[in-house]
Parts: sequence; C-alpha cells; structure tokens
Amino acid sequence: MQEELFHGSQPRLMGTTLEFITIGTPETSAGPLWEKICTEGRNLEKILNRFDPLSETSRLNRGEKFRPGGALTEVLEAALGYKELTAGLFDIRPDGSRLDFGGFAKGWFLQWISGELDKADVGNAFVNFGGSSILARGAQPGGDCWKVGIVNPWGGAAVSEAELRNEALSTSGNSPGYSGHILNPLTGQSCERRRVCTVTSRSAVDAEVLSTALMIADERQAEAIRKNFPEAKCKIFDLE
Amino acid sequence: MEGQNENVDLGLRKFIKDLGLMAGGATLLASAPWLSSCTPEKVAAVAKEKARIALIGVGSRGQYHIHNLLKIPHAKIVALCDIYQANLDAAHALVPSAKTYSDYRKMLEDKDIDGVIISTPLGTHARITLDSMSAGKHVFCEKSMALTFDECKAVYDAYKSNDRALYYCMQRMYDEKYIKAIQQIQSGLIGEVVGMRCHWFRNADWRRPVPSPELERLINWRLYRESSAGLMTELACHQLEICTWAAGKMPREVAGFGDIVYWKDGREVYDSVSLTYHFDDGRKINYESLISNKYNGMEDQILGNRGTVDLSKGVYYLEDDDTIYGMRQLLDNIKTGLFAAVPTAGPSWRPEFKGDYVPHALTKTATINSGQNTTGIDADGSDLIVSAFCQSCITGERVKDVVEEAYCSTTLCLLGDEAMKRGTRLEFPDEYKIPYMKF
Repeated sequence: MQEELFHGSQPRLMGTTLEFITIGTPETSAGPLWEKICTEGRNLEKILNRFDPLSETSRLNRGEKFRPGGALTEVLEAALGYKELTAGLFDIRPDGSRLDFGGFAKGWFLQWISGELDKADVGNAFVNFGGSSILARGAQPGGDCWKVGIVNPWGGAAVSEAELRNEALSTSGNSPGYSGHILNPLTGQSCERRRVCTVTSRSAVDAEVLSTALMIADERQAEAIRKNFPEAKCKIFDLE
Repeated sequence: MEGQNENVDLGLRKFIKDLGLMAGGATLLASAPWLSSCTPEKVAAVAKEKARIALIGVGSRGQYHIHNLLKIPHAKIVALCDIYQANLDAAHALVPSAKTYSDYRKMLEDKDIDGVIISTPLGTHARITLDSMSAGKHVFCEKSMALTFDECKAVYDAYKSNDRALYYCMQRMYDEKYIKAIQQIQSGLIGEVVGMRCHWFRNADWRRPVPSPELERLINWRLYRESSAGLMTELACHQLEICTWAAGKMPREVAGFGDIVYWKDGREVYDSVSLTYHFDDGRKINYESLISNKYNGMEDQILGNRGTVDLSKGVYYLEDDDTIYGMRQLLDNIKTGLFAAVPTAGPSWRPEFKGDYVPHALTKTATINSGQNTTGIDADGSDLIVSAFCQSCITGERVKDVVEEAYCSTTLCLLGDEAMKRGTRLEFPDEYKIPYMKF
C-alpha cells in the first residue's frame, strides 16, 4: 500500500519558496505541523529580514538603541560563534557593519524544523528551501535515502548527486542571474567565480555556514575550516 | 570575387551544420520542413551548375538581392527589369552582363531564364507571380504574398496546379536563431505556449525621396492602399508567421484599431496598429506597430507557462529556476514509487520582476535585427532563401510549406487590416481556408 503523502508549499518566504513533504505521516498531524512551520517562518522573517525596515535586524542596522527579543539574541549569538570556526570567513556582517542573516536564517529555520520533525515523530520528510537549503529525514518511497541532483546554474547536466538520509544539504554558488552576492569579509571583495559548493551535514546551520565560507576560502583556509566540522561532507565544483 | 563566393557557401554549410542537419536532423526537419533542400548532398549536387536568374523590380530590395546573388556560386544573373529607369541603371551597373527590360512580360518570353525574383510593390505581386509561373519560370517573391484575399487564393491555386517552385522571402523561416527557438519551444523549453506578443516600433516616416511628383505613388507605394496594406503587410506579416509557426495553428478571429496618428502627410495606410488575434483555445497574439516612437523596437515573444522566448534576439527567459521543476518531478516520483535523483538543489534565485529575468542565448552567435532598417540586413536569412531558390531553379524541387506559410501569414495580415478598416471583429472566412490550416 502506498504511504500517505503530504505536500505543503509556501511561496515568498525569506525571499524564496519553502516546500515540505512528508511520507507516512497522517494528514491530521502533518497538516498542523506544516501550519506551525509556516507561522514560525513568517515570525523569523519579521525579525531577521534586513529588507524589512520594521524588522529588529533593520533597527539594529540603523543603530537604534533597544533590547532585541530572545529569538534575535539567540540567532545572533549562534551566528557570531561561527566566525571563529571559519577563519573569519563566515560573518553575518560581511561588509563589517550591517547584519545580513541571508542563508544563515534559512539554515537556522531548517534546524528548528528538524527539531519539530523529531517532536512529531515524522519518519520520512523532505524540506526544500528554494533549492539552496534542503533537509531530509528517512527516505523517499522506493529507496533508502532521498536522492538529489545538484543543478549546474549555467545549464546542462547536474554537477553532482547527493544521497541524503537524516541530514541537511546546503548549496551556495553564483549563477548567471545572481553573481557576486557573497562578500569576503576579510578582503571586502565579492566572489565572482563560477563555483558551486555543497555541504551535507547533520546540522542545517553548519551546512549553511560551510557552503558560504567555502565559496570564498582559499585552499589553506578551506582545509583549516573543514577540520572544525569533521562530520560535514563538502564538495566544491569549479565550473570555469 | 572568388573569396566572396567561398564565404557565402561556407556560411550556408555552417548554418546547416549548426542546425544539426549533418547528424540526421529529424527534429529540425519536423520544426522546419522547408530546410530539407538544404542538406549537404543537395547543396553539393548543384555546385557545378548555374541557375539563370532574372530580377523583376530592382529598387533597394532588388539590389539587395543582387548583392547576395553575386556571392552564390550556383547563380547567374541574366536579366533585369524595372519600369523606373534610375533603378534599372543602378542595377545594370552592378551586373553589366545582364539584359535589361522595362516590360516584364517581354522578359518572360526569354527561354534562357530559369527563375525570376520579384521585388515589386505588393499590389503587383500576384499578377507578376501568376504570369511568371504561366511562362514556366520558377518564382521567388518578396512577402507579403499579395494585396487581397482573392489574389492570395489565385496564387495558391496556381501553385497547386502546376509544378513550378515558388518561394516567399519570409527570412525568419531561414534564420538560425528563429529555427532554434521554434525547435526549443516545440520540445518544451518554455512549457505550454500560453500567448504571443509581437511588436515593431520605428520612428521614421517610411518615405523615400521622390525626384518628381508623378513618381510619388510608384516610389512610395508602401503608403497607398492601391499598392500596400502598410504596416500589416510590410512588417506584421513576418511576425504573425512566427506566431502560427510556434502555436502550430491559426487564430480564428481578430479585432483591432488602426489609425494615422502622427504621419499625416497624405498617406492612406495606418501608422499605428494594435490588434488581438484570438485562437479557438483562448490563446492570443497581441500585435502592435507604431512608426513614430522606437523605444520598444522589434520583438517577437512567445510566452510559455515556464518561460519566454524572444525570437528576434535569440534569447529565452525562464519563469523560475530549475529547483521548482525538480520538486514537481520529485512529487511525481513519489507518487509512482520511482527512486531517482531529481535536480532540485542549487544556488537559489528566482525572478520576480521583468528586470530580474536573465537572458539565455539560443545560439552561439546571432545577428540581431533592431528592426530599424527598411531594406534588409545582412545574414537575416534572405541570402539563404535566395540560395535555396536558385537550387530549386536547377533541380525543380518544390520545398515544403513555404507557400502555405506565406499564404497563412498574409491572409492573417489582410484579415487584421480588414477588421481595423471595418472597426469590427472578423472571423477567418471559410472560402479562403486551405487544407494546411489548423484552427
């Protein structure tokens, strides 16, 4: 018998679409869980979106004096902790002044979803946050994992495949439509190279941080950074 | 001269090669059946022969063809005809060995002419085409096919009842970037075709200088109803053909407005048209042309639920990046129990507004026509059609669908023009339907 499939899709969340699939979880529990996820996503966006002039992040960026709420403090502390682990290459203040949670917020949110999946005892799930941040749980029907192709942004065949079990996959890169968006905080230079980095890790936040840092790391830096994340699997594709 | 010959021939071979005809090209021929005469074997077969070509009408467009013909190894210009001495003299200077005529009927009596190229005012297309075919000549004619429905039907019927080759200069049908685009559209690049938008904007009065007043209607024939339907037959014709080519069918009805908005200089044809052609399935072609503002230039857009192709620029734009489609595929796989990797991971990027869309090229290189030139630009496909025509003059081969496509697009132009003149919505008339048309 086919196991029950639940699919939710939320466009325009943190600048992209959140897709949520569970297999074998009855709709009576998958449905409310999906509602809860969307609500949390919107709440986080309200706090972390630097393009929203009313967000706490924007208020901090404008230099307003106020006591940030618990959620922002927690994200901020976690994000700052990664700077040291990445030889200074992951910085939520890439230009040295303004906060930009960008991908970090997606990783953070996926990690939160991961906790909710545990609580709800969901065995098989696939959560896709705009392609760049994916969380997998269990396996897809007919297989022993979730199999994902990594798209070459310049077209043509997929650059690689990843087999995800209980882990997250983060992909950073430039694309024909969007290049130079990753700034090296140490040099102030934007990264223009045709590179795609993928990181698989149990922690969605680690995956997010690493895939961004490895976009701009030189070989020596990359080696040092990887040592701090022994569990993560990193791949770099230079598509010149 | 030798070097030039080589260039054009190489150009043609490269074009065919680029289109993948060398490797069989079944999909190509399905999209553009008229290219079947362009196989390397067929081109090689005429290499040592010469088509004896005569030109009727050697004004700016006729002379443009002369320049192309001089570079085609299997062509020889043997005669020139024009009723306007100044043009005839200019053309004769380009081909001093050719005989000259002022009466095309006299010229048609010459048994040493295989084919004629007609570049005369639209109002004379049908008569000269019919006379030329009756005289046993193969015919190449500028678009549009003719000025009225009856003339179009007469030419079509004549073509069906004799064995002469007949070509129309619908350049886009021989333009690499257009052919590639149609191929891609038909193979699903932009999903389902949901609409079409074409426009042609220029800021020019479309007038040619007239040495003496009695020549006004002859030289500025595009501006008068007796010889032209203006923007519809001169510009829209090319673009509507692209729409029916992409849609694979004909729109059933049309409504629109046509006016003289700016160039109130005694002309009779509209200088501003805006029409909607409506298909049975609800899809539409929105067509607009204006010649007192050029900001929007010339564009031929085919809109699909997954993307847009602008054929005039040889580029396409996708609605969303691949990750969305990967998710759809994953859901399908889950439902069917198929365990396979779906391409859904990648740097995230999604266009929201027009300015965000990123163009992707359809061909490695493309000549882009800004639409501002009124004679013809290099490498727009005209040279290739002339070359294919000269080949037919030698072999007698009638290429597939060229006449039918010209008939369809010309009648659509005329129907649109009629709808604007009458200020009403018109259905395609039954008596002018041909078996080739699908509605």
